[in-house]
Amino acid sequence: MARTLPERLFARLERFRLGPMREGAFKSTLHDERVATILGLALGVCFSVCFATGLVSHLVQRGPDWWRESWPTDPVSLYRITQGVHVLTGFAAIPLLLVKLWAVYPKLFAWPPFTTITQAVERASVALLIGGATFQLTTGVMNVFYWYPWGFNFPNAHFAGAWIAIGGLVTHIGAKWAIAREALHRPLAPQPEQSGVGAITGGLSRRGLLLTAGAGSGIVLVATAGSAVGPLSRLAILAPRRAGVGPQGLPVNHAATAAIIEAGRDPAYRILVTGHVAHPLALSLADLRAFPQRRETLPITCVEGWSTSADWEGIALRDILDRAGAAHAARIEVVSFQKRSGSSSSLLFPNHARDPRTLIALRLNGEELHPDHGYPARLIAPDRPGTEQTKWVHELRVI
Amino acid sequence: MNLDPATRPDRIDPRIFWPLLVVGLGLAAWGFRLTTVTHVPLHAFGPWFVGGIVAHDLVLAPIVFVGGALVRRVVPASVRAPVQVGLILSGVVLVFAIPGLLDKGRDLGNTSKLPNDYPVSVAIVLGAIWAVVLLAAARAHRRA
Repeated sequence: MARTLPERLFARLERFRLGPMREGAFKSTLHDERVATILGLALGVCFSVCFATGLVSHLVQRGPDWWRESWPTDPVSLYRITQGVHVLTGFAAIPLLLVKLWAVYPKLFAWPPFTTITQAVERASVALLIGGATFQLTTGVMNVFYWYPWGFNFPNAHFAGAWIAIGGLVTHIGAKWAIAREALHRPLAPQPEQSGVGAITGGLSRRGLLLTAGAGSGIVLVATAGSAVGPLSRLAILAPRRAGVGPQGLPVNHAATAAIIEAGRDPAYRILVTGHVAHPLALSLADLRAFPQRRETLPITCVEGWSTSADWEGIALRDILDRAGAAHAARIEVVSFQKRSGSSSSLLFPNHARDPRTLIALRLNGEELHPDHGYPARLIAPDRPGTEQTKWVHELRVI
Repeated sequence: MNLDPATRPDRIDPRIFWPLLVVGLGLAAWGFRLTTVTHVPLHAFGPWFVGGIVAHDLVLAPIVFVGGALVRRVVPASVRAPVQVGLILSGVVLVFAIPGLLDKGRDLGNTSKLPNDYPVSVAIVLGAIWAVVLLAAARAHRRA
């Protein structure tokens, strides 16, 4: 058979074929294309799910107005589900990725390193996939464990990394299409115990390795899913959060500072309704309590994936807006008296602002709001990221 | 140019590879462009991006392969499979638990963050894994 130029080149460099590049350096028969293909398919599904749900989360918070305007309020747990799936799928991908990298590790030392220019390009492009995948999973997990030893803004870097990883994945699918199809369709090669002298006997089979990778994902999921799934909360011993654990049975992201607690107790506290309104309002706590009170069961969902459902009591935001004479099509900026960037205000589009379940809540699970949950008053709206459920509400700006 | 993956030495189908490479590189280029647009400094992003590859290929993988070779030498064939399963699962759990074990995100003003005692959690999970491994190994040993 005619040999390619790279093959002839590397045939002359045979003396540099050392260490792990030597023939037979990797003895396990589990470095197998079928194993790699099946793990690759599972990882492809995980990364696609993470990419899609991550994109949804990005668009909900930073997307164009037409997207944010049309983000539904029903089902109330839609964002809770997409973001829980995002984080837990990323967790589950970690064991699969580790076993997959182990299975294909000998390819790093393949001899000849490449046989065609096409293969040289393919091998270089794998760096995008492995760099992207490891970056997304390590920094993603560290972020939900509140460990940020890096000099970048995590959401921005995670969003950029997602495009790199998915680009690497698309490239890899193109490169491995033929090999993967062949690996799935050809008859199985003999198992270790049948393959004779010199082979590794007695260890894991291919099926055993795949089941072990799946079991790894299963263990990680069982020990973390209770961060979002209430009934599993007690099992969530490896999770950074547990559903239902926190003041008044609800986890907290930003706890109240002394200054916030003091401002909340000030008798002069008012919620101001300002902007494009017929009647600007300054509502005291007594005024707020005099409105018809509503009770809603709505989840708090953090972008970090944890969530807990709770019973909220308060005033329908639209009742306040109607009293001030705000237009139905108005957008509402909900402003906190908390002086910090990021979560100190949030924007409500009309479909959320006019939904009767969107509350300025005063009570949580039958008690007055805990300071950490936004005493004296907080926003709680259906199907919205927690960072946009503004606490310690001080002003409603009608835009 | 030979377009048949069955007879090419690299077994790549160029008719699928090159178009998807263009798409994939386009998506990745968009990602790199986003780092500049959103002010993610390359000197901070780059080391974390390359670091994953280096940490796996030059640190984690060699440890695992040396460990695997040791297991083949030390552990009798009759119980090797359950021990390998136990080691793989322990490794996976330990890697996942690193941020919890290091406890860098602890916030004394907010106990709902990191509510678990992670060393105890890891001990419980590893204990459960190895209890099952021991049972499986005992059964495999009796049969052999």
